[in-house]
Amino acid sequence: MTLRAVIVDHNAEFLATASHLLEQQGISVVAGASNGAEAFGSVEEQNPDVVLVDVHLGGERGLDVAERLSALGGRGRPVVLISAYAQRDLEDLVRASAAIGFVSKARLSANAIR
Amino acid sequence: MAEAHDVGHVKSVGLEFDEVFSLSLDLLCVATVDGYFKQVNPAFERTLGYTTEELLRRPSFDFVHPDDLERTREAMEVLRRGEELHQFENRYVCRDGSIRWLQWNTRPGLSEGLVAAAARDVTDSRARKEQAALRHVATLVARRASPTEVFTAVASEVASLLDAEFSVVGRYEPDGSLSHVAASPLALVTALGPRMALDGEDLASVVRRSGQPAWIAYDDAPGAVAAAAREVGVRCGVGAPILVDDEIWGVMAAGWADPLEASSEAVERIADFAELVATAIANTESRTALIASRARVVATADEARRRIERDLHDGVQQQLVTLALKLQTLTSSLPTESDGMRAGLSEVASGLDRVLDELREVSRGIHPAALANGGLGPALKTLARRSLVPVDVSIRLPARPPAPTEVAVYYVVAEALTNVAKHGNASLVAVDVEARSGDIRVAVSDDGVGGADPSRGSGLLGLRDRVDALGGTMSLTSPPGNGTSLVVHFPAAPD
Repeated sequence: MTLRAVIVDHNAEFLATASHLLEQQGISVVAGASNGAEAFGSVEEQNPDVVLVDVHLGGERGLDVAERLSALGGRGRPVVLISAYAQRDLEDLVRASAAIGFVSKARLSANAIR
Repeated sequence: MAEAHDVGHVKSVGLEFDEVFSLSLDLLCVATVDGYFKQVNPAFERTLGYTTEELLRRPSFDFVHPDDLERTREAMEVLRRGEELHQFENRYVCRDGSIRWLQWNTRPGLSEGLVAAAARDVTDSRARKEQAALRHVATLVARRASPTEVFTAVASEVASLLDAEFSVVGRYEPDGSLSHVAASPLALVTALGPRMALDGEDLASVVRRSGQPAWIAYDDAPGAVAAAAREVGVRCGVGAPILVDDEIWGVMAAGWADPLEASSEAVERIADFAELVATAIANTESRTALIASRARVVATADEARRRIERDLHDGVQQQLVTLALKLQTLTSSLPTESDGMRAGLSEVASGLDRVLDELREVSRGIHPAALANGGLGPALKTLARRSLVPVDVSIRLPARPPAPTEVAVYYVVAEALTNVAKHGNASLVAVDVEARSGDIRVAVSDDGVGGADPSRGSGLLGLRDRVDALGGTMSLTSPPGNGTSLVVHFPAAPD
């Protein structure tokens, strides 16, 4: 079954590029969002299997968005945090967060997410 | 000729008395209550330099320092009423123009209109006492004692030096009231209350209006303060403004039950002390301003670094990542037969990866990502994980400290861990950060060889600047063979 994902990132070019790459590798990117509010709308609407959230969403903290998304209860979705930082720079942040994992943006791939 | 008779009476006591009279080092005399010496002993000539003939011919007020004339006349009034006068001090102008302080014990004579008086030259002991008191306070100022310490010392020195019933250091508040910052005796502050409205004829009001040292008699003065003074038996007082940077900051005042005590000389002395208080305040204010300005410099630099790091991340780093992903997409969509092309692209991808890694390394040096995003907890744990020596991190903070403190704590721990790895031969490091009633205490201790020299290494020096800028303190303990411990305290952030 195809994995359905929503990507939340405030950089439009990255959003497009990442979607293209993941689609190519067999993940269905059902929506892209540039902030927390859009993310909630997309998640409600699409009910994806996973939500990729950038740690930095401009003025918003990706960690907070991840927490709120995970706290949706039954309608909540597993969150994977993404960032241009290396994993080792943010490891402890991720560990303390509500997210189930972290993928460095430069290493983004369908396999990494799965 | 009653006077002549009386003088004769003293003479008639006999030879023994005459000898004592001539030999006395103290000044002995008989005088009339309207101000003429009738008989003076040789000590007068020795002390004041006038001939006996001159002293007897001119009114005694001629020899009194002009500033002390009024008090001296009042003292004569006391004698005229037939009362005794003890330890009254006034200044005399000597023949050579110099000034001597005389302390008098005077008693009405056997005949009406005459007094017997003994005086002692207390010029040197007064000067010594005053010098000692001024020196004590000046030493406090010089060694940067807290203003409270200086105020308290000044209040008690002034009260004892001027022999005053009380002395007060007060500060003029913007709302027009006076707050008492120190007093001697201390119970006085409690009695006066922390603040006093200035709405009458009292020292603090007079000094504030005039900006000049002042003298006051409370006997008929209007206002609550004057009434309160009368109630506790204070009848007069002197005060001087405390001027800081040409602005009137407060008042230094003293009061007496005896109205003769408020001399022009007391005014001068209290002004000297007011000046020392002003210096202490100015010192503290400039020191506080300096700390604040250093803190601003550090905070501005930190903020700039945070922004540069942010810009690098959002700009260059983000674009490189996107390029890398595009490259990956491109590589994946190549037809299977273009292996050569694939190898070439993969090489470019590895190159991009290395550039990204290098960029991240540069970013880390500029500002730690974990600190900006998650605070000290994740940031210090990240440092700990990267340390070559195992680190135990314990953080007990109720909330995130202000950004400048947070960054400073981070660099203290980072620098300490670097030093441990370089010099310490340690097998374990403990990092402990905790908040103690607003202050933040950071301790980094290792079980290494110790013997670290705090003066060595620019790293520690840089840390000290950072810690100083926040008004913090830093101490390094490193006994040989017994590990090294760095403890830094940051005070609660000023409002």
